[in-house]
Amino acid sequence: MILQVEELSKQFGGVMAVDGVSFHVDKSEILGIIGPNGAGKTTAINAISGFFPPSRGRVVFDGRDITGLRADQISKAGIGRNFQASVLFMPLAVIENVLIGYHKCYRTSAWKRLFRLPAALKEEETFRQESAELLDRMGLGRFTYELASNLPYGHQRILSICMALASDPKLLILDEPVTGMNESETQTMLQLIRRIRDDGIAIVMIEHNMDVVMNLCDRIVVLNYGRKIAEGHPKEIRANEEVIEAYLGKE
Amino acid sequence: MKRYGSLIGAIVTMGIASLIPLFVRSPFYLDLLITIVVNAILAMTFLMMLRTGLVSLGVAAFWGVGAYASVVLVTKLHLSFWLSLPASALITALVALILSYPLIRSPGFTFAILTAVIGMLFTIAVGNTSYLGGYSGIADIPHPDPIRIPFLPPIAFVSPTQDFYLALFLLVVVVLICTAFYSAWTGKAWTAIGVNFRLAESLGVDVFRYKVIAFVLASGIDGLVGSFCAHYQSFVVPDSYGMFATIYIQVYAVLGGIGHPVLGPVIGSALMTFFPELMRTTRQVAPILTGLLLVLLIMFLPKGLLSLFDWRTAVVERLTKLRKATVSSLLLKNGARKR
Amino acid sequence: MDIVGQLVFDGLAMGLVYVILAGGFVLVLSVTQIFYIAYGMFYMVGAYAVWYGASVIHLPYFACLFIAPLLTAMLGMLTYILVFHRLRFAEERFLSTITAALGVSLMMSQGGLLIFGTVPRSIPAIIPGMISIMGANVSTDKIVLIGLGIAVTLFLFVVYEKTSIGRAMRAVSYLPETASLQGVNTNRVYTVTMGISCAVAGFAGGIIAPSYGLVPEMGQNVLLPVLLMCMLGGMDSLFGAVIGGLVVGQVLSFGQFFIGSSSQIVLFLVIAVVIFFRPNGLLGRKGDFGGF
Repeated sequence: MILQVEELSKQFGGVMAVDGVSFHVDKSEILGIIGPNGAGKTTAINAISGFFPPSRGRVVFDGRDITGLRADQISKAGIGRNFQASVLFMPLAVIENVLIGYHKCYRTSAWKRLFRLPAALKEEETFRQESAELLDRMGLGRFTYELASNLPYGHQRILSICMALASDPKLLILDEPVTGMNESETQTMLQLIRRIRDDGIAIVMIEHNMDVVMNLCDRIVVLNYGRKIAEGHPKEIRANEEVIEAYLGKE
Repeated sequence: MKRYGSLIGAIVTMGIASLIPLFVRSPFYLDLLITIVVNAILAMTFLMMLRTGLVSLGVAAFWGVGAYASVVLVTKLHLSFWLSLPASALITALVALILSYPLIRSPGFTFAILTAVIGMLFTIAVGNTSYLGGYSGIADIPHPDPIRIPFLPPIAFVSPTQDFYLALFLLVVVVLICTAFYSAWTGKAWTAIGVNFRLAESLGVDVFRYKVIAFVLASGIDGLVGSFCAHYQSFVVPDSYGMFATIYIQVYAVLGGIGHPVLGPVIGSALMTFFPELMRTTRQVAPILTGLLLVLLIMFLPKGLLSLFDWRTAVVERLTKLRKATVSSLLLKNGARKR
Repeated sequence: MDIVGQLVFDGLAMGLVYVILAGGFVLVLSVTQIFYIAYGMFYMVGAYAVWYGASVIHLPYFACLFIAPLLTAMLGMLTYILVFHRLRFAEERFLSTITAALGVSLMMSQGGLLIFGTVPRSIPAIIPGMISIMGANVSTDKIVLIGLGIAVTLFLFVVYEKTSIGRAMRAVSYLPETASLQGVNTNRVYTVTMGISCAVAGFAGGIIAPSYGLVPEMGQNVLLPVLLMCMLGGMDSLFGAVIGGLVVGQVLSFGQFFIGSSSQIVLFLVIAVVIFFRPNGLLGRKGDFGGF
């Protein structure tokens, strides 16, 4: 078990956006989180990844209690995430975007870096190469020096995943990775996600596209009104009456 | 070769600059050049903080802290200027560090207002302290004591020429510090924070820490320059470190171009300092023309003077891409494989 | 008791002038998002215009008081249209507008110096004599000042809260994009706001002239106190600016008399603390603005 979430709750004023949600993620597993709009999926993710601290509950990652830590501390602990909208460093080039994710990996000391000693420069060059390779592997090779803002939407979403991957995470949180994509872009994304999982990174994924969820995820957690209403394998979830009601009832 | 291009350019410029006193003897013009250097450095510190999203409206106050600290160290505690110079920088940095805990935790707008208040507070506080000379300030501050290098005659600070070289030396030091930080990881972190601090944080950047580094470093440099100014001018007056000084500093930064943290301030400072001199026709009309220049520049070149060069490089880039695209499509037609 | 009464009225007189200026400054800031450091210049122009009209060409004082604001309003609107209007969408709007405002400030202050010279000026008393109120001897002019000051402050409030243009101003100050979607002609609102603000600045200069005289630096001198009051009261609240102005005016008046100039430090520290805990001032509303 790489991630364990216990009784996670988040309250905004009088509203319980997330109420006592518990689940776990195993290594090399793809966990899907689904639920109608407003069910609290993104809020739960934000609480886990350090955007804001949870009101109640515990988050244990890789044996370490990370509840309520800041976003940068959680990133350093090994959780990476992307965002729902295209959140990138728009005025910077694609490779610059990815390089920012690498800083956790710097080994040379600050003084060596400031004085531009050969060791530091070599390390920088290594990271540049690794970034370029990562971009190539993810299919963004030809955009390496392009401005992030000039990329088409689908590629921007892939870029934001690249950035999260650069920090060498053990767990990757994806917030609606295929929303707004056409069929071929979606297929590309699915392949990428499978490859990430095969590389040994666990994945937590929020998604609305049911085909994608059913095909990709090993297990699924269903939220409604901030509470977990079901958990299990895709086949079980598909047949679950409460889940069906939650979705149909919303329409 | 490309990597060392700007280094060579900088060395050449410094070489030329150090020859200036051979041709320019008039203390008035040397003073002008020293003013340009000082203002450029202050504007550089403003940009350093701005890069992380911090708009400091109190830059001049830290400049003043360095100046007054140095005056106290030299005149009241009888330290040598050469000790007081780095000491003032450290003292100013320490003050900034202490203030950084409340200041930097605040959102951007609050930070700006609080630094503005600090700026005003400095003038009032010093003005009301008789130990520091009150509003009339302190005069007769000694020049830097002579530099004694073995086997060479001592270098005494008798004319603006020595002050000019010292200013140039400080400029070199500051530029080296700035480029070191900007090109290292710290600079990348600063840029990331300035563009999107939430994204930067989610990627593992400790936003608070890097903002504090920018703020303290910038303020330390302000203090360094303050110490130099106090002993160069031989007097300090609290009013010169007030809100209007900060506004001018910010104008030098903006005129040059905020995307160019080192070159921009030099250009902006040079322009604003030389222009009134060029317009020396009537002492009276000069400020009006300067004001007009400011308004026109900001209206037509809102990204600063150096944006003219950016425009040119953008055009050149586009033409190069066009050329490459044409060539590669020609190669494809001839059966060559695409990479 | 005499002294206290004197101080109260002095504080009230100066305070009201500051209140009007703070109100105008906040109006410009909250509606057009311009940190208008040149605002004090319109105060100076108004004062000198009234002086010129009253002392040089001998027009009746109240006529000058009517014309001067019109003059400053036109000047303000012209400056806005020529310079600031095109900066609305600049990338670094806050810094660009400050730079432009500095340019305008330089031109106006030096222009004023050239035209009117460096000598302090004064206007002979409008209604000579003193009145005894609550045991204090106050010059009638000051009473007139206070009366007019209150009138203009109320005018500002009425326009801002009760008129349709005021409602438009408020809409633009809260949500500029939404306001234009709702059919508000934002360009017109910006220009009118500038006009009104510069008009009241000019008026303030006009009413201060008889009691306190004119100096060329009056435009610059008034900027820092006004900034402080706006910071204290709230950068986007008209009422807050008024409160800030009154408080600062009275504190400075009493403090100066009883404690001396260190009262300014105390005032500053108090303001710094207030702003730290309430960054938008005592009565400020919005969380973030000015292009941050």
